[in-house]
Amino acid sequence: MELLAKSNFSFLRGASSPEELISRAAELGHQSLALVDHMGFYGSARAHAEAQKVGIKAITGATLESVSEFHQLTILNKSRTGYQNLSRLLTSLHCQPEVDAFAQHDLTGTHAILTPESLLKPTKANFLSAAKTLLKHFGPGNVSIALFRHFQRGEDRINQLLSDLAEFLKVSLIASNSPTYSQRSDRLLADAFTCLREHKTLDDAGRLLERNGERFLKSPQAIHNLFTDCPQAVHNTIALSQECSTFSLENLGYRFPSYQDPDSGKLFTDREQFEYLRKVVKSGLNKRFRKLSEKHQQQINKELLTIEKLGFSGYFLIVWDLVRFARSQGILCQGRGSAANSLVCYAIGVTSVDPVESGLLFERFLSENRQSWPDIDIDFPSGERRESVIQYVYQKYAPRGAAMTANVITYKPRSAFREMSKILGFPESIANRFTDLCASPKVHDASREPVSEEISMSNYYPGDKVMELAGTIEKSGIPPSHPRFKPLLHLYHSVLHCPRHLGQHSGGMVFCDNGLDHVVPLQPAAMENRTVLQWDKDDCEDLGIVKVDLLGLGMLAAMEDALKICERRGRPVNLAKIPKDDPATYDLLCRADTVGTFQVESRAQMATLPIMQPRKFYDLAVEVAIIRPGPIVGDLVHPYLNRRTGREQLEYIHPDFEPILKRTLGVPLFQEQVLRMAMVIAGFSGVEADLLRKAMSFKRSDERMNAIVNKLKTRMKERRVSPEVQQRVIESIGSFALYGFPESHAISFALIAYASCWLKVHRPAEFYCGLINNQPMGFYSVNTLMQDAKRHGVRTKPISVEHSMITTEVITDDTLRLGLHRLKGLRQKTMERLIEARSIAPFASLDDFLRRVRPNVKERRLLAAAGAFNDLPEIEHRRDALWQAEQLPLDDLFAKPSLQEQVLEVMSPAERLQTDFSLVGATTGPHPMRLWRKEQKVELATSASLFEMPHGKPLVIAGLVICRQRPGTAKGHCFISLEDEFGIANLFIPRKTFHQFKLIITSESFLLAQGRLQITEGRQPTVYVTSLQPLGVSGELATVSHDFH
Amino acid sequence: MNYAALHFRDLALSALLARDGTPPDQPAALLSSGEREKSHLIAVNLAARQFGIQPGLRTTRGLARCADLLLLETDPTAERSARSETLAFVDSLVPDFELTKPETYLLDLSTLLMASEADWISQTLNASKHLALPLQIGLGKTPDLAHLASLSPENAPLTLKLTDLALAKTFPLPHAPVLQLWGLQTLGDLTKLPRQGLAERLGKELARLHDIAHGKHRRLLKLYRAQDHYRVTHQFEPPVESHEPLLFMAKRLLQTLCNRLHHHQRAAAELQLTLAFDNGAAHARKLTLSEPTLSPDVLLRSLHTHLDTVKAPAPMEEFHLELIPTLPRHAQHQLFSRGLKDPNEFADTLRRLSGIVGPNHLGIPHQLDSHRPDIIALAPVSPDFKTPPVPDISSINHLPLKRQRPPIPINVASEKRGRFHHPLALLTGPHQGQILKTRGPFPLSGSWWENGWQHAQWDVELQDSLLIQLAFHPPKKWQLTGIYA
Repeated sequence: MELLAKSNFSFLRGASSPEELISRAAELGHQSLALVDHMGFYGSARAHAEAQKVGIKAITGATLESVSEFHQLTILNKSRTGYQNLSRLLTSLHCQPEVDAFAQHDLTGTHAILTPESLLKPTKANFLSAAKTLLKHFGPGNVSIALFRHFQRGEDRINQLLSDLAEFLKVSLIASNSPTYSQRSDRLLADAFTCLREHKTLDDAGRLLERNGERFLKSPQAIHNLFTDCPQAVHNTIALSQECSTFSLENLGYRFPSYQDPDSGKLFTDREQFEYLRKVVKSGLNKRFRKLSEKHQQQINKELLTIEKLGFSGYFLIVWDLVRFARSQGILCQGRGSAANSLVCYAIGVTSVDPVESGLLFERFLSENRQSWPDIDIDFPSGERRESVIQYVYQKYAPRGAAMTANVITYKPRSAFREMSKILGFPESIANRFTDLCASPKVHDASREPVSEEISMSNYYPGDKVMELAGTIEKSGIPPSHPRFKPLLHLYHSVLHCPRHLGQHSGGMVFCDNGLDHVVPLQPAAMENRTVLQWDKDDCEDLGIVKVDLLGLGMLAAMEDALKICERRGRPVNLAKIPKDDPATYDLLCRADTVGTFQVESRAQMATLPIMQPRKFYDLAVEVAIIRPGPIVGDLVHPYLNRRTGREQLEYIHPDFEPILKRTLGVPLFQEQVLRMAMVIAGFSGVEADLLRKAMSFKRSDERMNAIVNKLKTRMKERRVSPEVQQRVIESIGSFALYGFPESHAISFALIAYASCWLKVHRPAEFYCGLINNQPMGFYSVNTLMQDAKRHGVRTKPISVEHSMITTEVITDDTLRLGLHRLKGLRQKTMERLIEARSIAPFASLDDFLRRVRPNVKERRLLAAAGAFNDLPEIEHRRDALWQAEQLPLDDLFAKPSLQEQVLEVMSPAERLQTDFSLVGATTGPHPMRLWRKEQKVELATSASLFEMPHGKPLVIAGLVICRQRPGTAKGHCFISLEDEFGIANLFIPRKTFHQFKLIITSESFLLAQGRLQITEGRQPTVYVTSLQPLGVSGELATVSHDFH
Repeated sequence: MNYAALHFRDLALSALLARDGTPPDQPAALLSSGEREKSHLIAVNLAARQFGIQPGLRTTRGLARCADLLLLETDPTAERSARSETLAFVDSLVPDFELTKPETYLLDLSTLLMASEADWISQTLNASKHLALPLQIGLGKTPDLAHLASLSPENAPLTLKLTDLALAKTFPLPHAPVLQLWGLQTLGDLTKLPRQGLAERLGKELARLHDIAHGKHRRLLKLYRAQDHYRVTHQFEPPVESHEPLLFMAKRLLQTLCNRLHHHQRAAAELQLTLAFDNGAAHARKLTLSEPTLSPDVLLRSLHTHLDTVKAPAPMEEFHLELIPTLPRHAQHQLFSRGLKDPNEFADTLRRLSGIVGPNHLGIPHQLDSHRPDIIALAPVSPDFKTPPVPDISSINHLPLKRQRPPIPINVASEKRGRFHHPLALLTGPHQGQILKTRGPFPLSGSWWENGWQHAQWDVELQDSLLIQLAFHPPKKWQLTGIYA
């Protein structure tokens, strides 16, 4: 019966979560609780889910701010119409703040509540005017006046005034405590939030803070006691809450949009949609297959039947429409995830994997038992091209028919400590120290942690084991004896995981053909032309709102660029038609020559490829899947590789698993396998298996996971499965709960990985060009990519104002020309002016260039120092250009061109290198290590010579650090990739050595490592490092490395 | 050479090393403020430079290059002390010098008799040994040349000659990115460039530097005057037992100090007095003046007022007077808002009051912004009577309340109902009797993060319509906090 509760989704206005408020309300004996968050329904989905769990009603409503004459106005929904109207009103207030909230909106089904806090100046005249406004717009019977009793001086006078007003206007009175937190002790966090909202410390906040801690959720009895003098108000409250309880979010009225007839523009009926889908599928299959096999025919019939039964035809058509639009714009796209299990998706072009040929399980994607919508994620090239697809969706469902799902940003340890220490008046340096002390939760010492049997996200990066909080705070500079130590600790714990603000999901889009704003309020996103809805993806899923993920993939953008260049150069490539058994491509994979490729370029992948020796496409899918945190945690990589190389015998955990695990040599690598294992060993039904899948992918809480695992255990016990097998099954599931790959997803990714490798082998110039133009992406810097290109016979020419285009271009099969875009600090407008001026006539001189392109002084220096002027007449070298470009040409008609005296000296190779790295981030000149090596008398090992050395040979090697990795699963050991002019050497630094040389490893760009050679599996040389020191490379090079990701 | 520059390299770091007696071969560096892991090195000593450690390097990189690197944090006290020592040292060398930077002095050698420049440098270096600070000396025919010479990175005294400048390549250039791009490392490189071309491209500043390097730029020194000029000491023989002799002497001495101030176009902002008694006791006091003054009478009056409040524990042996100089005030009274006619007289009055009530009991009361009722602080009294902004604490009660300061502790018969104790009758205090009517409770609490407080207020009506405000402080303390009129 509490009608005015605010949760922490009111962002700095409430201190308890919706779940806490609802569960507390149930504890106290309330039949219902209305959540009226500030300007939205942010917490209502969670409140609804919790209310269902505890068996009370969650009423939806919102508190509007600065609307008409109201400082705050609470509105409740009495019906679905009311909910939809309020949702639209909230959307308008967010998206068009200038709109007249009452006059331009239908308020049917809503109920307004005038509270003592509604007005900034609570006078009799103002209240009267406000109440009349409400009656005019909401109508009699839809307005109430609330009385508060917070034990504050003066509130009796206001209550009396409001009671008189209610009597005068014949408006019902209601009683409320208007709680902003569930328990009295949460008042501390409420005060802290007030400080954050007002940008003050607790010491300075004064009377902005609460007078007392009375604003907590009180029991119905306590409310009765508070309003003994006004029993009618309590009675009215109960009546109103009963009236509002008739609507709940179950009856949201959301419907996935129907597909529109492309000819008539009318919305298809379900039957028409299915028929149209059947037509599209048929046409797609005709394009994909010359002749459809029996197996394919059976599969397609089965899938279409399921889709028809479930009524998902429209969904497939709409996804097909998206993909069709992208393709029409020349945008590469590919479905990922479980969609690849569907032949329908393959037929309509959403995915590129033939599930029948790959033996993929359709039920993993869609089954009649499943109650939820299928999940189709589509990868698009990141950047503008993906944005154009997103904007297409916005326009198609405009106005307000589409929005990105929200991403609730919560307080994490560092932000929690920073903000709480700030409001307690601690200096920022303490928060900085704390931040540094808990800098990388992934690099904690795993060996010290006891192995937990529980399967939980927190076991993977256990928050409490990463740092001991009190100790860390003490190390940060606050001793436990400090009077504010305990308050800080308390506030830290209270605020941790509380919502901080709303962000937008990376690609999740929701759309609706009759206005999404009647389902959930929308608000503008930080990005232009985007709106975001007030619920996150889990809330949407819980409420049956369908989301399509339009994700951005840098590699797709790079490959798309490469394909366009191929076409321009008369060597077109159709990725769909490249041979899947190209020996040269597999050779590249086998020798781990995969710098720049998709998914298989990481240090760990490169170490595994020579052992794996992939010779067919499925091998690549397995390779993509095994180097993942899940299988590593589960210690499953080595068994697979050992079995593959014949060092270990095949074994299937349980004989019944043989058909499931045969393809992966008895090792469960894919999510589908785990689900089928559960079905076989524990007799899980399709629905139960789906619950297990959901639990494995649901990252918000461990509760679901624990529940389903307990069920699994019980079932296995019932079926008398041996404890050892039980344990191994549970362990397999545990590792997949974190980052397990569905097989279909691995195959989809393997397709892109294979295509990228194929391009690297057969179109290297275009491939590297695409990569350079789409940075930053992948593991390696542009310089490393250029060095790799050089090793593959593709040289890169430097930036030149005479020859460079804005982007990097392919000149010949073995030559690239760096684009102007690589120059850090050159404005887009200047680049465009340059290209335009040059297209009219080549630059006759530097003066001519400066006159026509008009770069600013910074750009003049930049171009000159990078050597971009070197091709101009009368420019001798970079410094000559710098001297000449520093002075603008005189506009003197009679001035004779004077011969310029060479004032500045030529840059040395080392200086050129340094300048290249700082301005372009890469050099087209010699590798820094070549220059360094020239000055050395002692001959050191190189990345190339490692292949000729015997195992165990002591050596010293030097190079540029391009990658440092210390995965949480590596027991504290560190891996470094060291680049020299010949290639890349792999260093292994054992934990002890890492700690000894930690500072050198983490801070130096060039290293000299001493150790001994280890020839690992797959004949890969690795240097086992015993000692390290910084390399004395002159000057500081602005190098970029991929560190600790 | 007419000018010498004394440069105490990395004074902030050297001062700490000298204070701690750190050996010169110990690599050491001074950290920037803030978090150590994020900090960088702002100064390094010679020993550290040998490990390739340079100022500006991240601390972690410094430690990576030299694990034994001694990391020190700035200590303003040690730095101040080192500065005053260097100042005294330079003052002992020449009468006229400029304090160019905290660690650099420019000396006018024209009035000095010396056998040779080398001798003078050698003598100066010897004399500076007690400071234990690295010193570099540069000589030049202009002040700026001498300054440049002293900044030479070589750790040796240097007499600057133009030819050396061009050849030695030892003088670092200002950190201009364009100069680095040009490949210029030293001032020597800069001197080789054509002046006109340089001026056309980089403007006057670089042209001026070019001129300095070529000895074409001259300027006057801004002579430094030490504060010691405004300090006097007088010893009594025999010790005196009353203030009169002190005031008599002080009048004459203050006149001298004020004349000095006047001569240097300064005024006194503060008078510092130290008294030494023959039993070893001492008394020191800073007398801040309401406005800068050059009047010995004003100063004497302040001194007199203060001495009236001092009780001498023994006969007085010695006294020191020091005037802290500042710029004289040049201000007119406003037409409509006049300040005090004589701020010093006002300050004198405050001093007398402070002598009576105690130094912390004088000020302008103002209410603090808090829910805690009647919480008041004292703001210092300034001649313009400015007080901190008063929070808007408008009473919600319409009845005026006569507050009891301090509140009167009373005994109250009460009954606990729910969470609160409800008062029934006042048993002690000025107004006793049965409570006829109550309003409340009004619980208040705050400052939970430090010295938290909480109480519940009650408004009660006694017989004869007497309205009283009570406060209940858990667990069982009652107070009478006010009476409604």
